[in-house]
Amino acid sequence: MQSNAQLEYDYSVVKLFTFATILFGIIGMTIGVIIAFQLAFPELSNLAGEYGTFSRLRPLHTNGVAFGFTLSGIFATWYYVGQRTLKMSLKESKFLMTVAKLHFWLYFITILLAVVTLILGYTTSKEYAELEWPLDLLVVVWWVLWGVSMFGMIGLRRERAIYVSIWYYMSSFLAVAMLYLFNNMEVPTFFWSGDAPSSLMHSISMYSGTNDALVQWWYGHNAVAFVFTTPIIAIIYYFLPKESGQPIFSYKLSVLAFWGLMFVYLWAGGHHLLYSTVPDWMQTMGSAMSVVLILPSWGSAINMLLTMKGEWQQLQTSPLIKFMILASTFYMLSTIEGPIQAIKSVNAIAHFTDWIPGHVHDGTLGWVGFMIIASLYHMAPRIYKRELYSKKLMDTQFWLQTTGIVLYFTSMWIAGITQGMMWRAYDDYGSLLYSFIDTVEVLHPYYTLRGIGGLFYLIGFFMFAFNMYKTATSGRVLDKEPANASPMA
Amino acid sequence: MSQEALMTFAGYGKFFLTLFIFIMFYGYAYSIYKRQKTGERDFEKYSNLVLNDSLDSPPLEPRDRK
Repeated sequence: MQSNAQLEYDYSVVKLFTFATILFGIIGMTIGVIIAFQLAFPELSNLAGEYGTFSRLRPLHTNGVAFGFTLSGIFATWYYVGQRTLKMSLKESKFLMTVAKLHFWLYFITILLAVVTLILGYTTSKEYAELEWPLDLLVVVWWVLWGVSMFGMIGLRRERAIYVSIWYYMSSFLAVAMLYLFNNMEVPTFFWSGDAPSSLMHSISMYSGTNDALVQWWYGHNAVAFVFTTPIIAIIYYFLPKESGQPIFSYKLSVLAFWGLMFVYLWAGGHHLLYSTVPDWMQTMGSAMSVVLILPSWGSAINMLLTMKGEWQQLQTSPLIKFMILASTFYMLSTIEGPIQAIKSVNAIAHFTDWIPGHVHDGTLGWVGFMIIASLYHMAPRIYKRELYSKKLMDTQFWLQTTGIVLYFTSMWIAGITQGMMWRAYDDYGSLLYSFIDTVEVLHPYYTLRGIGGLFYLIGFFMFAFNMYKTATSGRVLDKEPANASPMA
Repeated sequence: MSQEALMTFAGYGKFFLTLFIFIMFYGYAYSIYKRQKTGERDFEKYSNLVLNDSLDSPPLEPRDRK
């Protein structure tokens, strides 16, 4: 074993995942903007035959941003935060370094295969679990590799105490492993179909009817929990204190919020199945648990805002702090909005309307996207040993993307509630007042606005990619690692 | 056991499980604050795991790696 003096952290895997985050972000978000405009202008669906239809592209967008962009960001930050808070270097273990690299390459190949297979129309038709069985098997392999690297790194740590961010990463690893395995239990029909024709890629779920719906939404909602929430909390608990140079407002609160989130989140998925055939108590439980979720969610978010106590001037001077504080604020917004939508009477209006994607996107664009962007910006001067290329560009990106998010969710709020009210409106004789196409016509301007909002965010993302590229290639070389605030030109 | 009885059983099971978790959680919260107050353990110092995270800085609670 080498002594600390000769050692330094190894960022080769961090750099690989950083590249993947930007690449899959561009792919996933570009497709998102295309399908947003397709909804406003349906003729855009006919540009590339079957490969350009909304139904082919939509899973590509969701998988691209969730499992491409977000997971890459999570893995990039894991290999950075993990080494630093555990005080161990990947250089110390050839085995762990090999595992980490294998983790990256298998992951990268899987996501590329996901893009190809989804566009070719291979899908299980289960939302957020569309990948067919051969890809599911690949996912299991690299997920296990992530676990090996995670627990291997923990086993080699110099620091006895395990920082709260690591707890959140661990929860993400364990929960997704369980959720993914159970929801993707499927039978490849090729092997059991006898003489009946069947594609090698095709499978059917092992569950059916209500059971399938229950397992699907237990998985679906917890994909939000353990891909879009806990690992992003892990990221903010490291990067906000580090960038601002402030200790967390209350470490005790961070631990309590962790356990609160763990206890409650797994029971909330039932709110996707209100007024359906699942047992009534499960629906009520889904609603109740969703409302209780406000407590641990706001516990973390307020903890982050209070971390800036006495240091709010940093919000004016650092675009990075702006990204993170607004991310925390969007986390608060979406975690109050979600529980409101989960209340049965509100859900009667909100369900199946555009208010739902509106809610999802103020969480994903504002909270997940901003935190991953901020963490990559923070890591860049440390991993490339260069100053961030342009503060001005970063500021412009911030305001453009923030405007984009606001356009997105406000248009979807109005569209969703309008839609919900029109679907329910009836006359004195109990006949429906509007047909479906009436709602489509009314919603057109809001769909256009949503597309424009998404486009703003995408342009901002290209600015981010350019800024990162220029930082890595032509930023001023730093002679020593910055302690807190990231240097920017 | 009939389907309805099974559902009822599951519902009550969930209620008592929640009650148990509720007691455990608030018990844990109380223990954390009590330990901090009596000085048995300082939880707030763990924020320094982020602020002093260079490989050269001494660990907060060193661990013997054998």
